[in-house]
Amino acid sequence: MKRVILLGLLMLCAFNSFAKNSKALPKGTYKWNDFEKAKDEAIKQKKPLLIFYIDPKTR
Amino acid sequence: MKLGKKEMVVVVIHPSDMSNVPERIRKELSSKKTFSNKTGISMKVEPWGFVTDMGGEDVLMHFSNHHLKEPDAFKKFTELSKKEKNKPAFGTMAHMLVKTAKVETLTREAHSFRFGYAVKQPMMRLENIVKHNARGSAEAQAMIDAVNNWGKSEAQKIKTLLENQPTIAFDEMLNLSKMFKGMPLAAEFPAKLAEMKKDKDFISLYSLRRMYKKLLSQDKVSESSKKQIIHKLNQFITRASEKQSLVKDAQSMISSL
Repeated sequence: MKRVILLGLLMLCAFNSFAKNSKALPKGTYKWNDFEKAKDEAIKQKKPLLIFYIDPKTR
Repeated sequence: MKLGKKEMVVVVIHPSDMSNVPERIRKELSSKKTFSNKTGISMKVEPWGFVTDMGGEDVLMHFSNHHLKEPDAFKKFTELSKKEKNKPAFGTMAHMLVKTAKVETLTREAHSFRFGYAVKQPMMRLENIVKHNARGSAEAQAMIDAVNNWGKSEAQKIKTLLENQPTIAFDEMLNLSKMFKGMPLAAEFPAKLAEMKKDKDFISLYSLRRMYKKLLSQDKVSESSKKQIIHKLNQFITRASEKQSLVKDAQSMISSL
């Protein structure tokens, strides 16, 4: 019984981290909601802004 | 995902974000753009994204998924990034001039212009370049025009502000008269400023504007201070009801609190 619970917990943890990673953007990349933050960073660091669209159908 | 993060600030748009994305950006992503491939043949494809300047205002380059597969795609990103680094900081007068007058050679001269500082000396240097037809004279002329046009548009803004928000107009006028000191554009400002300073009602509202600014600059706006300012502004409105522009100014402050 203990083994089953432990396995269940492990699977839950693994699934959670997988789900998180699949949604999370790489570090230093902004979501559209944080566009203003991205703009501030671009102005501060004098970098251009690269805006791109991820279409799930084409990926 | 390697998309030139070192060179640029990357913003990713998902299909679920599309409803919040402004029309201007949606258009850049959806309209078909022409790309020329290695062989020089131009083709129309759906862009996958675009690169803008640091302020997100001007589109510098469109790219498609197909375009990214080309070997020199990232080299172009690096080039754009280098160009942006060489530009004056966003929001400065030099940046505005470089952008509007398309300055490439006279960047040093562009840097000598700063908001809030006199423009007469740098303008004279530019006039000399034009007069002697030296290198970059076309750029110098474009910069002179850009400074004059900016000054004229600011003067126009002040005229409108004088009717509705004279306390803001006063500060703007003070700034513009300092920048264009000894030039025809600011010739009428000193007399107007002196006239405004003599008006007791204006001075009273001006001090309320200062209190209002101080209140808004605080992280946490206290309700009691807010009520106090509103009360004082209301008192002012009943006292100076004949002066329409001042009343409008006070009302605009009350409505934004």
